Amino acid sequence: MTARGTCTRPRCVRELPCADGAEDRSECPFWRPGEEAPEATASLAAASESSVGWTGRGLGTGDLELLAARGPLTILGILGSHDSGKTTLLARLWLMMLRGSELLGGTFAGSLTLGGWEALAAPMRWAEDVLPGFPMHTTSEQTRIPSLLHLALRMPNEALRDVVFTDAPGEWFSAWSVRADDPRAEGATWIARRAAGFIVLADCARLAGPERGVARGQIRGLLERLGEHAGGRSVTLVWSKSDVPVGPDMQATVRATLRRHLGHADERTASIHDPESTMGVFEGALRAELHAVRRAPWVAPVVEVTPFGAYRGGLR
Amino acid sequence: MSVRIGHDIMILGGPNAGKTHYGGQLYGRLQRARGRWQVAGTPTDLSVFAEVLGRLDRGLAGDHTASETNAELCCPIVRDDGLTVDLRWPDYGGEQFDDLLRTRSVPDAWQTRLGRATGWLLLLRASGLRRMEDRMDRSPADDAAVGHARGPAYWDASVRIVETLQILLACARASAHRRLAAPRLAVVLSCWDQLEAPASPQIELSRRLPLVMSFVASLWQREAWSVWGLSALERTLDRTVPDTEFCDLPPEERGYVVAPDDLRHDPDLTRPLDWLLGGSP
Repeated sequence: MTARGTCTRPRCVRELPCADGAEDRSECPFWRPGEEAPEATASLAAASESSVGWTGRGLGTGDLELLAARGPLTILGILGSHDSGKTTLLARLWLMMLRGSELLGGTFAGSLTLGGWEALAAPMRWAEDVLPGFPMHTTSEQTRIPSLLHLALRMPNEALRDVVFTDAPGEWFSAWSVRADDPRAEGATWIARRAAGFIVLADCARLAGPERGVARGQIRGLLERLGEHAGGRSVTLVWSKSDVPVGPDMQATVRATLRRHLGHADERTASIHDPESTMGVFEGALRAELHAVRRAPWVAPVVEVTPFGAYRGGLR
Repeated sequence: MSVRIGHDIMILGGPNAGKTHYGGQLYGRLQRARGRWQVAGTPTDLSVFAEVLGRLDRGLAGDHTASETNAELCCPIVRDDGLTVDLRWPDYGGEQFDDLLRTRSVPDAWQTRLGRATGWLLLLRASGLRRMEDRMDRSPADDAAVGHARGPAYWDASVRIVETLQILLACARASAHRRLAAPRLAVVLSCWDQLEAPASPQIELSRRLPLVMSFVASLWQREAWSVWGLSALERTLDRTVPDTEFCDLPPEERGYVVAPDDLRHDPDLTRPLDWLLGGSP
């Protein structure tokens, strides 16, 4: 029933009537009957459709500006190396949202990074649960975790709030800890300036492992640097992988650094076996900001490279 | 001579969601005056649903709607209180709905309808709907069997639905800030007869796809969204083996809807349409 061929009009449509008003393709002067080349089909499809601006995978700084323009934007900086439990914490947040959880009474109202969230959740699911019959080609890009994740929330006071979670590479913050104006740390500097709150992960497995001295030095350096920049903003130290016991001296040292440089900071543990603990971490970090009425002025990031455009290798 | 208002209904649903069966059965109700609404004149072109109605008369399920199909039933309909409108109800290949997510774009034909639509009817096959299990539900039997990040085809069903709705809302230039009063959204859970001891449609959607329920309830005004159950045929028919017992009753005596907070079966299949056109649930 469908004529096979191609339309030489660059912006024609798949449906009938065609862009030139022909009800039957053979009536259209631009139609060339014959075998359709696969790439021609693809260009027919792409030619006259309205595409959406977001990719669903991660946010670019341009997307951030668009979000900021539509209302109050809250950025939550999450600090820790990629294996520190940071990814799992974010993944658990998404798994809770999928269950219909609320965040400080706010209900899920959309996300521009659904692909990014699903990429986090995938390793938490079973391969046999995958639905059959959709043999889609995937790019390697879709296996990586983007650096900015977005949630829109409808708050109890009816406000629509956008929250962006930064999942930045650990190296940015290690560079920043050592030298605040390190050019490799531009992204870290931006987060430090713009975030409404911070979550810092203390990786118990590393703090109990053979490199624990190094791990302690790194986290103390991070807390000291953050202490200079945090001001009154919320800081939550999360002991991740807390099923691994950390020596009491080690704990005491980290805690003392926290108390000294970030006296107002909150301290929590989060475990996969306790879903409430995951929500508790994020609610604690976001409470002051999401309940605040005032809106801070937007400052666009000025960076030489676009750190948020780079994907971090995570899942393989 | 008064001018009738035209109402486009945007039917949303993938292949096997039941669009053609519902459209055909709905037309049957309108034609035979079996509900709040009935036809007020001769439809321009009945061929959209004539085939499926013919097959139902033989006890056969409708044929798979060809993916490139894009048809529309246009007819004037009148409500029991005399209100008359021009209804435009489409039918199309469900692959086009899946294509919205795959291409992250809306084709021109859909764009036109999006701009005009009074109401959106999202048809989801109830029995297949559920959130994917994860580590918070249970531990894996075998760690090697965990999933891997792949493309949108492997996303959770609720995520695919939300992203598709986001794409449509963006193309319809719907503002996110204020809750949407229009177009109204009716989420219809089809093949309701396949569910065992279901709760009300609204509870079933909340349990099966909590993310979709949150999304809809966050973006639309309370009066502007509703969830329905639907069984167009009250049983599953085969495409090649006729069910002769089904033929004992005419198609317009088969099928029911379930109202949002209800459990009862109502044979008036025009009720979701009535709600979309401004009625109460």
